[in-house]
Amino acid sequence: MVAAREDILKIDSLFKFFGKLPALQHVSFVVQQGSITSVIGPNGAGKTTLFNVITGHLSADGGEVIFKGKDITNFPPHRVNRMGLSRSFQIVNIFPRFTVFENVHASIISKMRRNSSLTTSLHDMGEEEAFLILQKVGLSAHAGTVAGTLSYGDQRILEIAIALGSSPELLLLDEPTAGMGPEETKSTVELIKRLVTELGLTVLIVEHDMDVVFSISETIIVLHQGMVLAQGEPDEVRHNEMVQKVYLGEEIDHVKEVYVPE
Amino acid sequence: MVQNLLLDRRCWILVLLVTTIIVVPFILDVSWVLLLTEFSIMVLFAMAYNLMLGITGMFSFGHGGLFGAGAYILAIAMVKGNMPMAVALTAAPFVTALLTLLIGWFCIRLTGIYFSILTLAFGQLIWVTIWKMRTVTGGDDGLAGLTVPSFVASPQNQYYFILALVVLGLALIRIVAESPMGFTLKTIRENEKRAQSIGINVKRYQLLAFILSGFFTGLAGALFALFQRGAYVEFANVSRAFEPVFAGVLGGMHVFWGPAFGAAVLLTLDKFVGEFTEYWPLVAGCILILLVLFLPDGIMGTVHKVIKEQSTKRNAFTA
Repeated sequence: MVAAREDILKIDSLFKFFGKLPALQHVSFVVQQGSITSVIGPNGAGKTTLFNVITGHLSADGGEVIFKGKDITNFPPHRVNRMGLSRSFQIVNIFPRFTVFENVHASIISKMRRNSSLTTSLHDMGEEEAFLILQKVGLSAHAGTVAGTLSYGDQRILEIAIALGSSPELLLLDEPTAGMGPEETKSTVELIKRLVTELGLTVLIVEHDMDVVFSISETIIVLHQGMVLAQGEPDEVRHNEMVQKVYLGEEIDHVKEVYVPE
Repeated sequence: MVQNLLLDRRCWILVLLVTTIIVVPFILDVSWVLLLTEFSIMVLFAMAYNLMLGITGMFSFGHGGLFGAGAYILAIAMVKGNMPMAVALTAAPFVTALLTLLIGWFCIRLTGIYFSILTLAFGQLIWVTIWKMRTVTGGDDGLAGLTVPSFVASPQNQYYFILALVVLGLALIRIVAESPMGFTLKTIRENEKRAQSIGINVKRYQLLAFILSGFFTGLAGALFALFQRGAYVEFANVSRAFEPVFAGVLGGMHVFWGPAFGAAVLLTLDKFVGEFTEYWPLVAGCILILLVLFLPDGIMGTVHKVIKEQSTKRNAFTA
């Protein structure tokens, strides 16, 4: 492995309260360039809240989000995206009446900052790039399909494709395999791995599926009640007593709960 | 092949439409020419409104006020200020756009129904201002006695003049809708939250759509004042704010020409049903209910959908 990689994202003592309820407390960790880092934790641990604070959909009540050395704490979502940090959503969040192609094209037009353009033709910009992305994720056969009519699994892939349209350096994936069958999950994991090796992306994932997490991650961060319980390489985390007690143990006791979609 | 045929057909429709429009004043009665002039203004109003409703997905109830503002700016400039028509007609859309910027700056902070209610409040504010500021607007007497230059005085010349400006307005709206900016506005309509996440400053573009819509609404209002030779307080009525909504729902707000078609159907019905019965609003209400229930895409939207489905079927067979 490459030695001494740079930290692309640094979360420093992040706090978030919902009323008096602490959703994130003192959350600190780093994400290394070119790595796949996973955030795990039981339901309500604050994983999605963490993503929403990082990407500006929620404001932080304390602490800092440092991306590529710049403080981006509480930037509005569109500025976070412009910085090179793109995300997918846990609940399918696409442009349902656009075609699959248009979904990705919209993202590319925005990246090219041609949103206010009145004089250029839409067809001269980024169409090729959109097709390349669809090819990469394996949706090119559905380019002309209305996105809302895609199968659930394909909509989840489209989620990722839209995020890729921004040509991000850091990709945040919120439960990319949620609701997928074993086959789809496997191909999605392959896709994420390919994005890292072929595009040099850095990926931060929230994931429920333990098989996925342990097969894909270089670093795992365990959230519990809004706090970082443990972080480290998969083996370290697997053998961490606290984690076993609080999280992995719980999973065995409440197998059903883990599979109930949030 | 199919594509070419379709293109040809479209071409023919355009030629037919243009010829009809030019020939109309020579063959039809004056009352018809006046009616068609009014039609064209309402088509522009509906299309201006649709920049917000159909394209950006923002539901404004305040466009009655903006339409009235456009009308009064022209009337005040010409009647009170004795300005030439060209100046007044240029000023009206720009000043209305400025007013829209002011209103929009507050409104876009809210979303959904709260946004709509605030636009309604501002629309009513304009209406009340027109009604109460007697010295400037003439209050409930309105501003009558607008004299137009002789070259637009006859109904036929007026028809050509107003129609030319309407076509210009429609062409500009078309350019916006088909441009990357229009695509951005549609992206916001489809999913605001996701649009943010791909780097679009949603509020900024919503304000932009509001201003553009206000500009063309102001132009439509000004043309209407020209047409009526004055401006009256009912131009800014809240009921006027619903006309373009109705036109959009009737014709199909997600098809470019849908609202134009809807406005034409609406005015035709208004004209002819209105001659038979006083209860035209009742009929209009029934039509609206039936449409929402059975043709949620509007008339043109539904036709468009059917054609699209058939062409994909045909393609499937040839493939």
